[in-house]
Amino acid sequence: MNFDVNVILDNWHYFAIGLGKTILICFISLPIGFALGALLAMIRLRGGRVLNAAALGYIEIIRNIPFLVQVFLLFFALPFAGIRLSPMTAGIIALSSYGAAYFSEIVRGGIVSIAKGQGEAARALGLTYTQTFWKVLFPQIVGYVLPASTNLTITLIKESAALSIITVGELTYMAQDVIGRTYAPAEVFALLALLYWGLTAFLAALASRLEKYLQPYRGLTR
Amino acid sequence: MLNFGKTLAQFDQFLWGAGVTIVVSLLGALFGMVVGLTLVFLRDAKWRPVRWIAHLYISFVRGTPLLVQIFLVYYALPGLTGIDLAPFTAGVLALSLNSGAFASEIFRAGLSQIPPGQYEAADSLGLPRFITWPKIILPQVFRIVLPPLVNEFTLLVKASTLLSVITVVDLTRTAQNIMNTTYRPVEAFLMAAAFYFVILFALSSLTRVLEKRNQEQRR
Repeated sequence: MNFDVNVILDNWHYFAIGLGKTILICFISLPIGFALGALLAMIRLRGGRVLNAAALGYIEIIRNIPFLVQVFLLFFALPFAGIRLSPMTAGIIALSSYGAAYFSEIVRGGIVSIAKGQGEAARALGLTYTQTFWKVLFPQIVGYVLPASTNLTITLIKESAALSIITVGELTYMAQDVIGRTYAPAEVFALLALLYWGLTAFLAALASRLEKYLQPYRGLTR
Repeated sequence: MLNFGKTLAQFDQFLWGAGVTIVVSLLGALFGMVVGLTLVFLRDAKWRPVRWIAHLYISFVRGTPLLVQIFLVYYALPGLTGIDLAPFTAGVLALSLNSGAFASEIFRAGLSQIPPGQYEAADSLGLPRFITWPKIILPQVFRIVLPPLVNEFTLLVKASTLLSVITVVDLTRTAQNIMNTTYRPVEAFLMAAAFYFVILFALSSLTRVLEKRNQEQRR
C-alpha cells in the first residue's frame, strides 16, 4: 500500500474548482427547488381538483424514478426537442425539479402537521392575523420544515455527484479528471470523500445553530 | 418523434436488467441489515473507541455520496489492499455498507420505542433473556421497523442505478447499452423509467399500507 499525498497537493486547484462548482450548483438549485416545492405544496393544499392531480402526478413521477434516470432523460431528451443546454444547465434543471417534489412534501407536511386549533386559539386570544402567523404558526412550521430541509439539502448535495456522469464539471467529475492523469484513485477518492463529508457536516452544524436561533424556547417546552 | 419499435424489440433485455436491479438491491438490503444490526450493538459497546468508530462510520456513510463510496470500493480498494472485486461484488458490497448505516438508525429507533415496562414485565414473569428477546421484544421491534425498512429498500433500488457506472448491467446500464445500439436514447431511458416507476411505485405503496396498518393497530 502506498499513499502519495503529492497527487493531492499538485492538483489542489482542480479540487477547488470542482468544490466551487458543486457548491454553486446546489446554491442555485436548492432555492429554486424550495420555491417550486412550496408552490406545489400550496397547489396540493388549496388548488382545485385538476391542479391537485397534476401536482400529485408530478410528485409521484419524480419520487418514483431514480435521479440518474431523470438526469439521462433530461440530458438526451432536450436536444431531441430542439433545446441545446450545457451539461451544467441541464444538471441545475434536473436537481431543481427533483428537489421540488421532495421539498413540496416537507412544506405540505409542515403546514398539515400544525393543528387547526393553534390558529383558532391564537385568534380567540385576540392576536391579529399577522401576529397569529408570525408568532404562533410560523415558528411551528419552521420547527418541522427546517430539520427536514437540512436532511434533504444534504441528500441533494450527495445526489449532485451523479451529475458527473453527464460531464458536469463538479467535484466528482474533477476528481475523475485528476485520476485520469495521475492514476491514483485511492488518494483522490479518499480526498473526494473527505471534501463531501466536510461540506455536509458543515451544513448540518450550521442548520442546527440556525434551528436553535429561530426556536430558542423549543428545548424548554418539552 | 418518439419511435419505440427498436427499443421494444429489446424488451427481454430490459426485463433482465430489472431482474439484476432487484437482485442487487435485495442483496444490498439483506447484507445491509446484517451491517446495521452489528452497528446497533457496536454503538452500545462498553468500550468507548468501538462506539466512536461505529459513530464515525455512520457519519461518513451519511455524509458522502454513494457514487463516491462505490468508487472507493471499486477503484481505491484494490490499490490499498490488493483486493480486486468484480463489478457485481463491489456493487453489492458498496450498497450493503451504505445501507447498513441507515438500517442501524432504523433499528435503533425501533428499539427505543419499546417501553421499559416490556423488559420489566418479562423479568418479573421470570423469563430468561434468551426468551425475552426473540419472543417479546423482537416481534414488536419487527412490526415497528418493517415500514421504514421497506422504504430503505425503495431507496436502495433508486441508489442501485449508480452501479451502472462501474458496469453492473442493471436496468440503467441496459438502457445505456440499448441506446448505443438503437441510437434512440429518449426511448431507451423512458423505457427504463417506466420499469423503475412500476417497481418503485409498488414498493412505496407497500410502505404506505404497512404504515397505515401500524397506526391502526396502535390506536
